[in-house]
Amino acid sequence: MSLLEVRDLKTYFYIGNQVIKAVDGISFSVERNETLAIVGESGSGKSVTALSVMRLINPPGKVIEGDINYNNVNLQKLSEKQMCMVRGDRVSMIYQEPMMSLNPAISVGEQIREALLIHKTVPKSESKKRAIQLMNFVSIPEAQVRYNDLPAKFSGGMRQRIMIAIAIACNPDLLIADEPTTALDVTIQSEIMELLRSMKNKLNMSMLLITHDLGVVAENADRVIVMYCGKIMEEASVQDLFRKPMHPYTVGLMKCIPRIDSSVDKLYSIPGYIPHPSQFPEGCRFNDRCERATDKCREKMPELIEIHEGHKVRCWQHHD
Amino acid sequence: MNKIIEVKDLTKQFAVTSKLGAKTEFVKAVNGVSFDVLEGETLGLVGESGCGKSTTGRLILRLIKPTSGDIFLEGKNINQISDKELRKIRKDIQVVFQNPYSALDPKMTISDILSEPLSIHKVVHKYQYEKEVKRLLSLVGLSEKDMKKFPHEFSGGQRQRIGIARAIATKPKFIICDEPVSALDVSVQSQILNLLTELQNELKVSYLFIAHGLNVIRHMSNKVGVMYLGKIVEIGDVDEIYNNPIHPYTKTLLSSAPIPDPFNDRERQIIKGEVPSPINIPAGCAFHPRCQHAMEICKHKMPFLKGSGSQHKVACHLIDYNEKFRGE
Repeated sequence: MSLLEVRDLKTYFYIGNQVIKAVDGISFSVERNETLAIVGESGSGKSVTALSVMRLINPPGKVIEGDINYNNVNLQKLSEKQMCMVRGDRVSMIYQEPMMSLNPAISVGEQIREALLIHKTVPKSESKKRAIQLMNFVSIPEAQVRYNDLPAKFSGGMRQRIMIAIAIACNPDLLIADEPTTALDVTIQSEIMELLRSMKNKLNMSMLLITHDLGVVAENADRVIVMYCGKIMEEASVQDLFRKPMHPYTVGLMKCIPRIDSSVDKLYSIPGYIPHPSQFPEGCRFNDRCERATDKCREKMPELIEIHEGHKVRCWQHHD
Repeated sequence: MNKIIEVKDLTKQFAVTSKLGAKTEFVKAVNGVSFDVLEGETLGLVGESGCGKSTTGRLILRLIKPTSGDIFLEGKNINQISDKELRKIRKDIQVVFQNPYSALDPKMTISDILSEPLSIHKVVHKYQYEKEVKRLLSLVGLSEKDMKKFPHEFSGGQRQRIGIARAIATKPKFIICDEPVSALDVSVQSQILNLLTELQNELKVSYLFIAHGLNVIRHMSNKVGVMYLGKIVEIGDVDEIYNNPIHPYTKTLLSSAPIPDPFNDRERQIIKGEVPSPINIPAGCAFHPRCQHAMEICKHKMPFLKGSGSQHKVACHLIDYNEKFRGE
């Protein structure tokens, strides 16, 4: 049985007279000990998906449909108080910009301890000791001394380590990482991803990794979901996706990224721009940028169908 | 080929005063940088945040004044010239910024934005502004219909096209592209990179291409300079640097960048620690506290850029060491 199962999730934003269909009917599951990556460009709905799972969508946004089952418990049906006991305890989350997620006026040690106290993971008398252990665990040098330092005294990479320490404080089953390394330099990025991988293995966690970077996906994910304009376009194991991408959007995305290990004269580029979320085209949402679009694509949205085991694609070309 | 830009021993220090004004310290943002850019060529500058790559760009633009060093535009020293003369040469050196949202005045129409440089630098006669603006728009792949629109009516990629049109309006010889695609989505990024390449072929302009994305730098550049704490630690032909990096920092940087290929099994070079503060740059080689090959000499003697011809230069004591070792 899956650890997390999301079925037909729809999260819409109501702004003025407009309805923004940020997430428009997506289903997926995260198995135990696996890393599922959601990859997509801005406006694809990947972050809104994560926030919906955590029930952190605020008005004007609303989850209007769908089930989110965590360990067979429907998170939609929990009271806010019960949900608070899930967040940070069973499911925790780290964000792109660690400075925005940490309280600038409280020492990092106390912020880690807060998570332990709220969820009563350890007795109060041992909480400080445990917080320092966690800081050591995420390789913060001189943890004992730095316990009392404010977030401002840490570099970007170190702050993300603190965030990870808070997230894993209560041994969660699922860690949602929303663009965890986007704000960091490459050398720091590879350290943080390394740390996340080792934490995941040591603590037997599952990870939902949200990113726009196919390099990060290739090196960390077991399975991948490709999102575009609120819909899942393709879903596959990381090997299948890179070996044989099926959706024209996925193919285009892979071809248009310059490589560091080889060079070409002219880059492939996907024509056009990502449509504004209030102006998705009729039919397949990628049709106006797709070189292989036919009349059928402009009229009717294709279903997400399984081509072979574990590899699903939403494209008329692959129907029948 | 002619040298368009030549930079010699450029340094820039910013003074920072502590809270009570008791002590003034200096951030050594750029610390003795030299390179030249030939006609029609692209030099890529790559490095992590705080390495001084953007400051170098701003120094060449003379948006800030160098602490020491010289900048030559086609052999003419532009560091010591009067403001009036400086204004004239601004036409030859233009810039494309990272964030197309903040680089365009929200209250100006596209037509106004593109006419402004035409009028300041008297590129064409007043009566020809409209025609010229249309020509610029078509060069960057936008349509005449966009002239009367405001920046907010465009997507990020389109705005960057407007930024590029503004940069080429004065027919510059040299354009500084400061992270021009970092704020864009990957599917739009390749359009802008292709546009910059096409314009270079058509207008024979030289670029200084500043970016932190190693893949983007490889694609765009003929030559690459790798910067660390205000210094160029390795510079050379792009393929040479990427296929045969010598400086331990370059090696680390290249092996840290994730490759979109799950079947790739290259070896990672992980470095420990973080970039030191540019206020207290370590003595000797600035990279030595993080370098796994650091020797005694690295702690007190600064290595100079040297190498075989102009193709590939490295600032690292290991090369001397290896040569000596081989000699014995």
